[in-house]
Amino acid sequence: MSDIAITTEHLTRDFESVRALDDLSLEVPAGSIFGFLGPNGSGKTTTINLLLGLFEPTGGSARVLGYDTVEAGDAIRANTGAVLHEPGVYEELTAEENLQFFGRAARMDRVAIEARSRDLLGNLGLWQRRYERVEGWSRGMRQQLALARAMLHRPRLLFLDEPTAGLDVMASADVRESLAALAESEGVTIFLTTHDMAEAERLCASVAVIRDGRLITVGNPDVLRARHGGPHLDFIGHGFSGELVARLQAHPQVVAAELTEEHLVIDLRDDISAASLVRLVVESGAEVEEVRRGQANLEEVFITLMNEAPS
Amino acid sequence: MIADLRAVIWKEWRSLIHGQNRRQLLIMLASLAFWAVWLPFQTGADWMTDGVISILISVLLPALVVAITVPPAFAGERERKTLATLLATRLPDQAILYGKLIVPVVAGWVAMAAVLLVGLLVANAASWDGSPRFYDPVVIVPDLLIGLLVAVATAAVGVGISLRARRVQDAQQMISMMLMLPAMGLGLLLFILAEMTGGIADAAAQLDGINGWLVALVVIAILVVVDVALLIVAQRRFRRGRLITLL
Repeated sequence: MSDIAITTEHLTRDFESVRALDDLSLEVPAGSIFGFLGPNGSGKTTTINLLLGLFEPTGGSARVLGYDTVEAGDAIRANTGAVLHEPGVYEELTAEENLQFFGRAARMDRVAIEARSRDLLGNLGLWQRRYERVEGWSRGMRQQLALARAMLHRPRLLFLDEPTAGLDVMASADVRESLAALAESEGVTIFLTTHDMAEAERLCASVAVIRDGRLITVGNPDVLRARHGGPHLDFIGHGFSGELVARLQAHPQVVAAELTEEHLVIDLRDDISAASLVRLVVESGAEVEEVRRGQANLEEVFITLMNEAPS
Repeated sequence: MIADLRAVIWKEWRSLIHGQNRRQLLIMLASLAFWAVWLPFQTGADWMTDGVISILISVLLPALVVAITVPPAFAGERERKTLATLLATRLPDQAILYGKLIVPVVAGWVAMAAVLLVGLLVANAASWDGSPRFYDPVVIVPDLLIGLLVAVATAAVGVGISLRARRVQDAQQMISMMLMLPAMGLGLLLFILAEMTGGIADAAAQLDGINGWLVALVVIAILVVVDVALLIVAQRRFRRGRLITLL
């Protein structure tokens, strides 16, 4: 089996005069969780639809699990699972009937569907409720069922389009936990789009950031944090003067210094020793109660990238 | 393909029974009871020989049942936001399309056949003269075939309308309005025929003089051509690449 689950080369898609995806080239390693991040309307769902072979690209090409998306869409859909923005489960049917249908659609026999349903619903804590109609279920439970449905036929690759969107904190945590457990136990590759940067940071081995259909950056979250969100010092206290901020901004190791109420935040150029800067602040007469040294999280990196990227 | 078709039919049948249109189906069943019990009870022996009543049943009933049951299968998928997931499965476009068409068509045809069967029993009971009577073959055979072809035509038209409609209810209303057009056309045709022959009774007498089998054969042949054309159009419209952009 190839080490690469997805390859796109200059993948482009236009909708009439609008370019939804522009020259996307990337590789998704097999067996990993890959985060595809971007604001609304940035081309994430278009990318998933192209990778599933649901429509053809205007330009470029893509291969999913070795299959060309234009020529072998059927084979791609047979070997992948998808939860596309909405749970996509039939409310009028029971959980068991939903899995029966999607299992039959995947050409599984009845015995295999039952055995697999027991495993998946059991792991997700839904086995006891399998004969209930889904219409009475919470969105979180439906999303769990959608995960079970997508994993039913043991796909090698799973597309998840914002699987925790619209869920409360607890339901999101449950879905994330299920996702991580399933990915680990099944060894499946996951292509995940999300707005939740903490989720991406926690789950993804690598992420790509897209805006206006264009790829901005791709890499391991730690590498992206180091590349796009440098270290910073956060001073908490009183008496930070405008003159101090000006002196800090002129310091060769300081990228930026910003004063907000009782916080003085200094972005550092490199991972240098903070001692000289702490001394500078204290000697200015400010009353420092606490100093924290930290690195930008993925959300801050994302915001930085969105602000940097030309619109 | 057959296994895929069976999977879709299996799901559609369950959705039909348990879906949101259950209330409409119950109303439909109540009206079927009117057609199957009250009318034959009133008409008695004429029920078996009157071609007008049976042709009305074979045209109207399947069309009405299909008009109610087709939209949930297509517009309903979009309204409930399940269509994208369905399209992301390995099911071929044709299996999804025909699987979704077969259930409403069979439901419409079975409803019609059931009304004709129950009507036969009621009419016999109401006008019992010691021996059972049956429909005239020149009436019942074309009725059963025409009912099936009308159901298919309505379903194929319903696909096109349902794919454009935002809601199930919109699609049902639109299909019902579309059904009025052929009915109005038929009425107009009868009116013109009556004008040309000097009255309804004379027109009926003229029609009686024509070979029933020949008329049935011509009507069935026209409906077959119409059905094939409509199914080809429905198949061309029901493509993943097109449907996914409509979401």
